[in-house]
Amino acid sequence: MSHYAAYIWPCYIFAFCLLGAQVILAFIQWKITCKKALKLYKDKRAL
Amino acid sequence: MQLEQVWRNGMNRFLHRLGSLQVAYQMAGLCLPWFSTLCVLMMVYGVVGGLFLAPPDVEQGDAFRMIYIHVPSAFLSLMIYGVIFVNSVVYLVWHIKLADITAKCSASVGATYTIIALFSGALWGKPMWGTWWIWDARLTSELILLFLYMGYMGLRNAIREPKRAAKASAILAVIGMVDIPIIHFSVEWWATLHQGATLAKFSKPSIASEMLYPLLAMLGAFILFYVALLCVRVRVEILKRERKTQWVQAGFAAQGSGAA
Repeated sequence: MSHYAAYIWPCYIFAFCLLGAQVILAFIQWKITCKKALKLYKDKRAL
Repeated sequence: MQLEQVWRNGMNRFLHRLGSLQVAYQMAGLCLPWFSTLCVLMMVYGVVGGLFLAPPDVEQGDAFRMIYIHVPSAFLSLMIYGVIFVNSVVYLVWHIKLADITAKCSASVGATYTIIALFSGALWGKPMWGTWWIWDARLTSELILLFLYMGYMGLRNAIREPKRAAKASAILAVIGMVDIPIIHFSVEWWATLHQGATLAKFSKPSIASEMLYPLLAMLGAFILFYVALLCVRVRVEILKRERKTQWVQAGFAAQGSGAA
């Protein structure tokens, strides 16, 4: 088996999957936090 | 004397403004698209250059191409811990909230880079050394760094009171800093399987320029990735902490709906 198939591709795929997961996680956190902050704003305005 | 006073006042005003969460939130939002775009461009050049344009190494063949993931991630794992250390000291001495937020938001990115460095190192070690892992000084101290990151995040989440959590984790980060010079100099202090510095020898290059430029691009891309992610994380954390404040509420009011 070539070095590409055995080591290089798994290395690059693993690294970019982890970095991608960090981006997705940050995006989800951003969405949730914005939603909560917006709800607070709307609740305050309703009062 | 008067000039010194003016300078000191100016610096104080500048630092005070920089430490303001509102200013940090706005600045992070402004910088994010630039950092992200530059990161993507550099990463594309780095990956294409590293995988397809750089010639194979004389001794290692194509296996050396793991350098484009391994070296930048290992460098970032140390650099981010340095950032956490500096921010922890700043928080402990001056109680600047932004320093605590920066340290907190950096930890998970640093841990991710450490995992990547360890994993890519194992994948590189197998064809070169004939083993996935060895209890070598460099590898072991890097593994300890991963435990430090995990300990830092665990300690933060284990304490409910935010100020106590910030103080305890900052103290841990300061103590853990002792591992960073050990990692860096381990290849010089002990007889290890791991090779010496590649990037830190610009005066006497140990890598050909066709191989070096994609490596520098990947290093830049990884740094920009960290900074861009930090911008998002800092904004999230500031929004969490400040959502009841007037400036956040005013931001929502100005936009009508959607994000602040």
